[in-house]
Amino acid sequence: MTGQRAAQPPVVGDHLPELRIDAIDPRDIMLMALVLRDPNPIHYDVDAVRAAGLGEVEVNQGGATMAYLLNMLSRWTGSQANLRSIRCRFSANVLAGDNVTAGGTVTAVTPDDRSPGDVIVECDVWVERDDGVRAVTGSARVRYPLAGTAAVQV
Amino acid sequence: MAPETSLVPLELLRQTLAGKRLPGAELEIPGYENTIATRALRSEVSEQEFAHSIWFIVCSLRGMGISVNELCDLAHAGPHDTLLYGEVGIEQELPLRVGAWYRVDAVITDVGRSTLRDGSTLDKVTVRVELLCDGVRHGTVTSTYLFKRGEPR
Repeated sequence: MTGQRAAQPPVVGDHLPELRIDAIDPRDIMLMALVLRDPNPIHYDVDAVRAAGLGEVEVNQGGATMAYLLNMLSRWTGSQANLRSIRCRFSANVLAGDNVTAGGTVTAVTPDDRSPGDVIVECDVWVERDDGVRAVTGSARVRYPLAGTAAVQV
Repeated sequence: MAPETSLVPLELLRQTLAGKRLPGAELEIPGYENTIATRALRSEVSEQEFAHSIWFIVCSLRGMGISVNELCDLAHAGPHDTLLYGEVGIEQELPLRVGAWYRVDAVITDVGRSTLRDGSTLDKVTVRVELLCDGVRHGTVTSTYLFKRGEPR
């Protein structure tokens, strides 16, 4: 799927290529607790999760769940460098073992003043659990290269 | 966390926190940590030159110059209060680079309060962080931390 350069710029209403994350691994949540310097025990101590009334398994960091959106956007546009902005709201927990899908739709396409020939794409974005609950919702702006680097085809 | 459980007046929170500049920090994005984060987040795009964009969030947390617990103390969070990550926004002007050092400047920009449907109080503390390398701004991160006060009524 990667490496196919879009022949045409995206248009309003297009769906972004979804990114699926299956069975979030509690070891990855622990690693991200270290990287984020996040001392909250709900990310690595099941007893703390139970005590907080949040269930029986570790809770993924909101920032880590948001990062699946960053992954989706960088895969679509070909580089981390193409992110211009993203704003997210965290509204539900994602737990170890959950499957989630990062997705989005294009809401606006405008020329990129800083990179002639390319476009700036605005989109609504979300991370959805398999039960249909959207754990993260928001919006993003990315540079979509038409003249240069590879991107996943819409 | 502070031991008191009574609700701090919003005006006091605003007076003491809004506009308060936090210590900030100088920090590096180490290559090994970027690799670990990239794999833990299952990113399919791994660029040698650029760090994963999650580092804007990482830097905003590490670079405030105070710990999460100290932020709770500033917000007068008690033992029955719950800290939640409400919203975050990243403005990327330049991508972050692996191995580079960044100056992180942090300021509390806003404090607010609302009442939830269950009657409990939700205080919002917004922190804006700027990341600079060699004096050049690479981006900003605006995070809203939520303090759900006390037990639900």
